[in-house]
Amino acid sequence: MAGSGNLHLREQEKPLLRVEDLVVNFLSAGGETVQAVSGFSIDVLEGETLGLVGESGCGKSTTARAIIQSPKPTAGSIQLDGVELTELDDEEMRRTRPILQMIFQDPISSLNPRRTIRDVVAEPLYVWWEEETGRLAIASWFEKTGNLFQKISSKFSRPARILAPLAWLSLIFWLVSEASDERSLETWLSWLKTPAQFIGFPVLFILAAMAAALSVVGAVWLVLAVILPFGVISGKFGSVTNTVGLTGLFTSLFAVVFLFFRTWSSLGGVAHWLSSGILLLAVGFLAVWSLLACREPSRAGSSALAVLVFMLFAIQVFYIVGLDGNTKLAVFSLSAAVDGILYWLIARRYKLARAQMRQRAEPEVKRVLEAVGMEVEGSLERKPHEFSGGQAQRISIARALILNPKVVICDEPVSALDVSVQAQILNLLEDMKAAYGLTLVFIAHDLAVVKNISDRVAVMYLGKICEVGPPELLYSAPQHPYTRLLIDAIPRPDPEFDQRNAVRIEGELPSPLAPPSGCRFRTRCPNVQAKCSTEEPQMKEVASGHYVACHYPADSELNQ
Amino acid sequence: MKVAEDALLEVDNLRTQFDTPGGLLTAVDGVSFSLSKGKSLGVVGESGSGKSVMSRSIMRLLPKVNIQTEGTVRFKSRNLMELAPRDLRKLWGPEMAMIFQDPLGSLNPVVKVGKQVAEGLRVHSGFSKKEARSEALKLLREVGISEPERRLDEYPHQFSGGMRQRIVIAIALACQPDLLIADEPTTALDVTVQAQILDLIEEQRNQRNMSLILVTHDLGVVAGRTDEIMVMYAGRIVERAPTKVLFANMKMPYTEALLESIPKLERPSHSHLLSIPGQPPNMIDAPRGCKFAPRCKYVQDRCVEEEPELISAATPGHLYRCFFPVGSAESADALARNMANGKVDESGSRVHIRT
Amino acid sequence: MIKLKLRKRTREVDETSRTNNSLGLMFWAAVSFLAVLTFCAIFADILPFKNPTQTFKGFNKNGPSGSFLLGNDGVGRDILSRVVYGAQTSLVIAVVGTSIALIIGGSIGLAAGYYRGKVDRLLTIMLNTTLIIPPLILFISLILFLDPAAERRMFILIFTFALLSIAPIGRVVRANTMAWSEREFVLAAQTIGARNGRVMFREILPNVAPSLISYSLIVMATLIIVEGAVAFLGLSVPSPTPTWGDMINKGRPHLDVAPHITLMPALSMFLTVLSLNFIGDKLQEKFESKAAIL
Repeated sequence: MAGSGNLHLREQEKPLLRVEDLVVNFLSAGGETVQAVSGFSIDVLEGETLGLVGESGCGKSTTARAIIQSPKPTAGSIQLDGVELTELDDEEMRRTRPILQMIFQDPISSLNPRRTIRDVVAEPLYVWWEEETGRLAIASWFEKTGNLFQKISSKFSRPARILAPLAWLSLIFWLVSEASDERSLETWLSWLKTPAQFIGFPVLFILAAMAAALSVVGAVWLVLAVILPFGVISGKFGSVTNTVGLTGLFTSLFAVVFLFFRTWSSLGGVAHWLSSGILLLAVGFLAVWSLLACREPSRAGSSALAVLVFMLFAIQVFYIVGLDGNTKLAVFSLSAAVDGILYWLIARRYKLARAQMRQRAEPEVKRVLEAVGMEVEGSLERKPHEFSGGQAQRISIARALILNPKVVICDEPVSALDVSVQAQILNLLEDMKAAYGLTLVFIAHDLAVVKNISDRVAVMYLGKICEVGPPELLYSAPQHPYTRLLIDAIPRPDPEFDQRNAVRIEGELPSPLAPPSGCRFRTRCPNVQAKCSTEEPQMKEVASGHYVACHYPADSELNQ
Repeated sequence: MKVAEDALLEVDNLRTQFDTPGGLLTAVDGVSFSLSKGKSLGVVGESGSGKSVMSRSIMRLLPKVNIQTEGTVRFKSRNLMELAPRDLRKLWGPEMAMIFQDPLGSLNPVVKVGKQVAEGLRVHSGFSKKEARSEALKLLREVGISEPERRLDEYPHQFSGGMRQRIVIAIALACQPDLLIADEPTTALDVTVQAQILDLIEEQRNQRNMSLILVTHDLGVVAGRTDEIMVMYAGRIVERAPTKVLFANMKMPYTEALLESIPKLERPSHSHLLSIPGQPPNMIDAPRGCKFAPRCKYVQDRCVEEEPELISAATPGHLYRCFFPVGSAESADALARNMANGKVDESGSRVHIRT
Repeated sequence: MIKLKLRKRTREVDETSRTNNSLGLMFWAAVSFLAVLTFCAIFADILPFKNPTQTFKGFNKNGPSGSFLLGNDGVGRDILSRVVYGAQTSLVIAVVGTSIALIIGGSIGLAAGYYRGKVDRLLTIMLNTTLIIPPLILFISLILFLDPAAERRMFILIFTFALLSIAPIGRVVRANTMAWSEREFVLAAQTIGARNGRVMFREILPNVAPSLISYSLIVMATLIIVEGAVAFLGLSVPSPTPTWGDMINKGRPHLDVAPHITLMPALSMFLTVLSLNFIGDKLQEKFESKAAIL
């Protein structure tokens, strides 16, 4: 058993999920290769429930994780609705995730303990709504500034296209530095008055650009200048907010470093305007970031805002520490007041936006929570630990359903629950499947549970399939000796059934580091023959839709 | 309650209460039973039914802080409730032992398993280091660990879940206890391993003529294995009977509901499971009347008003706590009435209560 | 089982634990002490403190009196105002040093714990590199190498302290992040399509933050002590700028006749460190007991 072959794949039909020759290998702590899954193939039709059974360590959970590509399998193909998941890049896969959801074994551990049920269930919506608003922001930003940028850059040659943003930045840089020095401020203003001098501007501006490019600082600016526009264009950083935020973070780090040097040396001059400029830019970036974050609070979440507040604080501390006694106090009071107002505004705006999003999500959240049989009143604001295992599992199901998935993978969803609660969850999954037209992959180690919910059952052993078939046939006429043993292990609520005489599987699962040759089950098989160790059994059909990978299946004449 | 002459363990009116910030929580409420030498008792109930707290109360393993325990627990005619901690420690091991759900949590991760098995022998039986080691070797072999000579010197993390539970059993059995309390010993394990472990406990119990209390949430686990079954709900015994009597003639609707909620191989797939709707009651201010009434399909006004006493059935040794026992004419009437007024749907399950 | 039952009542539990009683009177005493100290340090210039560098002739080594609440030091300066101005130095060094370490160490730890593998290995090497630098030697060489002007001394102190605190903080965050990443809610968040950054900041960070906060308070306390030790060697901010360590050092010769010169700054340092440690411990305890219910 535990053999190879793809005979059981239904070629004539178009499956919703099709896994072919899946291989998952890990590197163990000792550097050896763990063969967790070795050539697993299965297909699931739309609306079907596939039951996957096996002991712990047989690779069934690894298979589930490989299907959702986290981590990606070592080899093999996984097709969801005709899309080859293994060939998708991270971003494409992320966009595919909503239709492929998962329910986990430990209901409490699969809910974030620090969030309320409302947010836990609505989180998928938040993620994708924010994605939308993020995209909108990109679009509008691009329209406004991108057009201008393109217009300018299309007229220049290639190097100019790189120099242009650089130059713009250097200009701002230079202006700031000049403005920060009182004497040059006057000069600068007088230039404005003299058109002749004003014409000298472009010259200065190109000079500044070249100077910047030549210096070390210039290199940094080059990086930043490229990150900002190109980061957004390539979508690498998702949205404007993120890019601005990232740049802001970089800049503020530099600001801290430069302030450090400035306060350090009494050089004034270069160090002085450098630090002032960067400081101003950093604060500017952070301010823009906070504004954007207010508009779409999703993107730069509460933690990111905390980082921002902290960054601003650090800059101020550095700046203030470097000042003289009296100025120190004045600047401190002023900046404390400004900070206070700014943070209050951010907090208010942020809360408002969050509330709006919550409100928008509320009908959806209520709908799914009601669908999974939770009392909505009074549970929305509670944290996961206030619920029992069964209730937490219902919440997990609600979270998976809110995105209207096509396929739901249930990884031992009832193993950690009491029998009475287990029945509730199994019934619920059946109801949800009917109501939402779901396709389920149900993983468990208890055959009775799997039989109850599945349309097709696959028995797995040490990374390979032993037997596949419709539950009725598989249970009434199990062909593989392993299936037989699994059936015998089920505790029967019947005192007349003599459990003491049931056939028991012996020993333990062999190490997946060095699986047995030939049939992987041979080391524990009661019917083992010489052939089993040399030749790996292939999938063969024993009845319609019932396949087994064993040299000596129960009904064959070969089996003595 | 009739007390057997040869009782090893007699529990009388055991009550355990937790002082929580929300109020006094009664986890075990007036449990009385006795267990004879060499017999086994299965304790069945959902999470929160008080079965684990009860087994810990019997062992006196609960911390003293914010927990009050009343009643008497007589073990070999000594009242455990009055024993000093020092005397209790002498009992744990040679007289009574306990195994828990999580085998990894019950083993010390930095001590070799051989040493952990030998520990009890050295403390209680005064074995020398060498004797204890050879005894530990014998024990490991008995609990079905292959190559015990080699595995004696391994650490718990090098074993699989089932093997760890075997080691825990070996430790528990080391000092030849007269009573073994197994608290959900297989809940964390696969069905195949569960069967192996239950077989092992069974086999060892027979060999050593030991008494066993097997605590579980799954009626299927105790069905073919224990002499008697005690079903607990809301800290109370709701039904108690010899195993065969219980399955053939169960009286308590809760027992029936527990049995029905187990998926059965004989049924076709996609058959609707009769689950127990709702949650066990809050034990801080539990409802008046029968504690199971809010989830019971036979519920009548009387059930909500007054709490039924534990009464004897026709069969000796069969006790239950219900006004409308399963299989009686009254219960059939009650069910018909409930179906008529919509409390129970046509499939025979109590109409869904939102949880 | 017990846990399950308590779950039903956790709302009440949470409400009661939110009150001050669960943290204890000592916690609030520690918080108030730090608040008063911070307030005085920030507004030292406008509060009626005497000039910390002014020497009052004839008051040398005087004990506490009506006009000098904590007495005078060896050259007659007011100890109270020197303690308050010394707090400025100590607090700025501790807070800024820890903050920088928190940002850098925190991000490194978060990324290392979340991404694991190569990222983890690289970042761990970075963290460990900071550990192989002998702090005192780095310190002395920096001071000798650079012009030891007073303001720069402060920056060297902050820079070194931050560098030294990055590794411990980074390790704590890394270990915590790893533990939390194991939880299935992290996989669940990835499954709904959340980006890595979102998972790190919205799912993991809120769970790591509590222990991080209490740990950084303890780091802060350590930095205050280290500053004292450095000052004792005469390597901290030079006189006449007051620092606690320097004050203790200067009081040493007069220990037999005027022990208060040493005692007062030592006491304020002791109380500050005690308060920080106490608050850190209490918070840790509180978060732990909360985590135990989860």
